[in-house]
Amino acid sequence: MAQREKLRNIFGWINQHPMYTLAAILIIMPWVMPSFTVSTDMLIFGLFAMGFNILLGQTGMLSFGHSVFFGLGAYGTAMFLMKPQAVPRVPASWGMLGILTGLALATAAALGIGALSIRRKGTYFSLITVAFNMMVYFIFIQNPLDLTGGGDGIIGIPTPPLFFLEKWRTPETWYYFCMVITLAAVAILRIIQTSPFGEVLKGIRENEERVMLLGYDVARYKLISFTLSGLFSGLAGSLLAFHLNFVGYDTLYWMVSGEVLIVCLLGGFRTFFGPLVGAVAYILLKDGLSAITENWMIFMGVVVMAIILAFRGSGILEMAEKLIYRGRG
Amino acid sequence: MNPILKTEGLTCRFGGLVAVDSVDYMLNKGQLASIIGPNGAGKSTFYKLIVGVQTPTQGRIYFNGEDITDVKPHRRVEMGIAKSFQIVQIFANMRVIENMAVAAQQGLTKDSRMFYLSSWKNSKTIQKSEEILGRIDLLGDKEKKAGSLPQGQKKRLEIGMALATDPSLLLLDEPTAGSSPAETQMTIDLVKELSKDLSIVIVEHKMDVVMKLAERITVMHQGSIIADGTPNEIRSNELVKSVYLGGSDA
Repeated sequence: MAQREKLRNIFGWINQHPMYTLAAILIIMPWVMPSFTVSTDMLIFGLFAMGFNILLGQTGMLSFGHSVFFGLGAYGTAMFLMKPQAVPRVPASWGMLGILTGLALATAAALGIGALSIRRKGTYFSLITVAFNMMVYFIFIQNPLDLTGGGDGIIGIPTPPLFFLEKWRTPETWYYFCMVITLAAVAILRIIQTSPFGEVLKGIRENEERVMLLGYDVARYKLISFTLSGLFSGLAGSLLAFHLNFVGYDTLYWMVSGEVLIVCLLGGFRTFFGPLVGAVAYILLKDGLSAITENWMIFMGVVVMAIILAFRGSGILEMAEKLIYRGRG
Repeated sequence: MNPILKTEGLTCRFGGLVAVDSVDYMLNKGQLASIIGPNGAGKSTFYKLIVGVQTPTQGRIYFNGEDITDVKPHRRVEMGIAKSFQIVQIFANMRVIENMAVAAQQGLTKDSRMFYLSSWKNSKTIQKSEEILGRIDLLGDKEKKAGSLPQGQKKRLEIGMALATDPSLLLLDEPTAGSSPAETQMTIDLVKELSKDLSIVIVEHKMDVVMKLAERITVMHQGSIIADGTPNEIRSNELVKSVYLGGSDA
């Protein structure tokens, strides 16, 4: 069929130039979405999901406690800006460095939690990640040393000046700022994924003992993968702190860990861009359904389950690829 | 002659079960030896101990005179020990050339910065991969998904990947299992070819394969070595005959 041929050609071109396609889509996206703010939600959660998928899709390790890195990223940024007792005061114009502190806190945590978690495999690994997730959650609710705001969270996070621009933030400019950061992060993720290092991670996913007997220190690779995953999840969290002007303990809750997993399943965790697609779909659904009914969570669950069942375990992006290449073999 | 592999009193106990019972084994450099024995004799466990995936309860292992008993598996591979798997362990969802690249690049680029930054389609890795694929006669199939290959070719890929780590000692675990007669002959020829440069141990159940290849045969039974000698000596050994004829071997 001529139509499918045309689709294949388009898809083929997209596969050759994925980053340009993504940039184009992200530039146009907010104009077709309900609002710029919702689009920024999609970017942030999409970045979180992309980071999470280094561990799941590429290395084959399922973490049920990843919101800890998302949350620590957010808290790291918030504490830097709002808690003078935690960090040396910096001039207000340097505030955007808060993104780096959030990232740093999440990465440090990932290193520590990862080192301990990877000592076990499969279900035990997943359970350990949940344990750490909830441990941090409970610690932060206690408001130790008045650093985390406890049950109230940290409110009133300002948007620092961007270089010399004082009041630069509007929903539009904020979206494009986040978009630039997201694109840069995805580009780095792409390089990692297609590198020899990335191939080894895929090998570990397929057949861990084999990789070990080819001379690779599998434990070390798993730790690097875990840490990178925490790093990018933390970066998303940092952006979240600025986005909401607020950080609360529910960002650290295990339900968010579940959400990011659902997003990856929905979009297709076996593909590189699947998590991003999943995030867009998930947030669109959430936004649409919650406007209609208070019980949007039930309908959300039904819709997500329906999609996963109908696609027989493939995500949206995976299904699209299957349909377009059907009959090609 | 300096033995390339030596074990002293190697023992592996799982609770009450003694899988490997105080085994003293020795392999000289350049030898092509075989280990045979009924199922459950301890052959696979013995291999696992040598490769480092299994920790011994007692005993020492020496490789080229060096005590490697406490050395981690991936380090042993770097030192020159390689093993192929009984149940084929290739990366089924990756293409043949990718399978070989993961195996080949270990020695080439693993420690360099480029490992994290460059594309794996780096010429040195591809060159080495294609060279080995050529030796095992799989070059024409390099773009195929590894899982789609027929059993005999999968086995050859399996051996090829072990070769890619530049070993001096190659442990083969039932390399002709499930292969057709033609494929079996190809594997025999390949192993003969490899034995010119490598020390090789083969665990096998097919006696004709063992007789065609091995210069020396070791027979294991219930975790111990019950006989060790040339093919002719083993063929006429009474104890071996009773173990095989009275036992449950296929």
